[in-house]
Amino acid sequence: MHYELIPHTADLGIRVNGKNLPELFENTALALFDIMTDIARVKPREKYTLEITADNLEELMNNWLTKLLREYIFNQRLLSRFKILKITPQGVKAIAKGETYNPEHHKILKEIKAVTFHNLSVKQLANGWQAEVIFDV
Amino acid sequence: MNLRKVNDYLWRIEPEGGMNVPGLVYASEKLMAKIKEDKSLDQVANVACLPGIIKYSLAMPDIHWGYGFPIGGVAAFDMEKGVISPGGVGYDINCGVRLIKTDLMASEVVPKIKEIVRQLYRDIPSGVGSSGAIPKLSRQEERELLVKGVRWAIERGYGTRDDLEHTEDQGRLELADPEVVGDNAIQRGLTQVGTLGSGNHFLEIAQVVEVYRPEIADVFDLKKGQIAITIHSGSRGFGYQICDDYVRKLLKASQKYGINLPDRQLACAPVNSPEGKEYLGAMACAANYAWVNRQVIMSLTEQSLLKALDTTPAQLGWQLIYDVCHNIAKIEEHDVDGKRIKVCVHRKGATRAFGPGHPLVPEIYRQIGQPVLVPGDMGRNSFLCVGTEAAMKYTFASTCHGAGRVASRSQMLKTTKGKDLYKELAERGVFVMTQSRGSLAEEMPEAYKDVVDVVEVMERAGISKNVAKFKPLGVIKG
Repeated sequence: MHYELIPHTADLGIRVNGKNLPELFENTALALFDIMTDIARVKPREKYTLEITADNLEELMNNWLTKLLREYIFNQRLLSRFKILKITPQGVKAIAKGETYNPEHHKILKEIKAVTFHNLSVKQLANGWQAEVIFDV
Repeated sequence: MNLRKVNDYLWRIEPEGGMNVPGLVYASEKLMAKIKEDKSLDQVANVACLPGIIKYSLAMPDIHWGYGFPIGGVAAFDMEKGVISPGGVGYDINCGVRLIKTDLMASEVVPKIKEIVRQLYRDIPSGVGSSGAIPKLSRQEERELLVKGVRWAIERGYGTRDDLEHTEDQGRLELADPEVVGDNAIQRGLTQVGTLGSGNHFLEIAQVVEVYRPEIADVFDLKKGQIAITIHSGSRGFGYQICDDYVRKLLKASQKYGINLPDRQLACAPVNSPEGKEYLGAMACAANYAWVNRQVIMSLTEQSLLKALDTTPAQLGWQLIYDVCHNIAKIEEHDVDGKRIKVCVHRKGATRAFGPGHPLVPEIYRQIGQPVLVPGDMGRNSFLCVGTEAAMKYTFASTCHGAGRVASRSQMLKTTKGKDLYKELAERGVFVMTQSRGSLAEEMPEAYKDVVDVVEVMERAGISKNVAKFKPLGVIKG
């Protein structure tokens, strides 16, 4: 997994890396679901197309993760495969694969309640991209 | 940052950069050493940069890193020139606490504590996504609940009218407007009334272990060895969705009104703007939802105890002492520069603490001041305090709310690896049932400041007065 936990007193922070922007967004999505559940048990049975817009890259990251979190909260979907089709600071289009949450197969390890803007960063480094996000848990 | 000690319980952050007012942090030397380890003081300074802030950006001794405002942050804003910020309330709108006393004594409860906790664990849904305590609401029923607050629950047989007098704002903020609540929030709220949730929420049975001011404890009819229940929960997914929706809306509003934000999570709008009023209307709905939530949990708890103890209501002597908010914004009257004016007070991880004589303190408590409930961690203590005139004068009638975290969740998972946490707590005399060991690890006593140190600061500062100290016997957590 291309992420690590970063310290935050009350909640849960992640630092994610990617070779390029699409990979960064894919890895951040994987990190979200890896925290929530045993992602290896989430089969790519269904395919969903997701389109998100924003005013800038950091807002886009927040909106992307919020959209994914809401897939679980409102549609009971767990997702384990992500492919970014198109991305600019103003929008992302992606395919996600997963299945409906089934308490007999899937264990929810941690309840992520919200994706915050706190210390949110998306930046380009010498050898790729890095994002930091804090989740309210 | 220019931080200087004012006295043994107060520190000042001198205004510099974009700060409009100084920061004032209530803390001892011991607590300040820990406080400096995370970025919470920077957050106190950031809040001081917001337009229309009055006098100072305050922090209580349980302060720690939050989003935008620190947890333990208090700030009052001018109604015309100031702002309202969801970051100054928190995601869990009206996360709060209620304290219920019983006529039971520790001697009769301790031998049966395991059966009692097991019964509570069966009867009160807790944990991740907990739901199903009461039948699923229709959207219409939920809208009624959001407007009526605790009265909605009482009309349906959860508790009695007497509980209204013992709840902050009688369990209802009038500003509630379901029209400004998005359907996503409504949807999340349909099945979660009467559920504890997860994280740091809990239901605790405790005994009074010390009484500090017997003449005040008598008003509460509390004595050593007596059993009381604490319920700590909030507005669940409903409140979270409202905060989420409104941080985004007010980010755009901040740009519209030309408000410079040191931190995105301080997104805000002028209190009197359409956006500001909408947030207040939605926040009030979440506040009412949380009060209904705690009212229903209280009622389910009473039924559960009657079953577990095979006793009668008369013998149980179930009586709500008080219910307080810890995450809220209120429009209140305060004295500012010799004039009594309306201000918008944000309390995020802080408790209202009106002094004796205040008309909004229930008549039964008006002579002693508003009850203040300060839960600690599950291994140590909780406190019942009262508000004071000094609180009115110095902190916009606010005091601390709990112990405040010192260790991150990931740190706690590391340090507790391989340990039998249930056994450790049992050795401290606390029987715990939780949905997940991970959640327990994150909430172990070592993750928190000692609440004794926290309330001591506010006692010495004269902001709130200690009345009774409790020790937990049994806890259920998500």
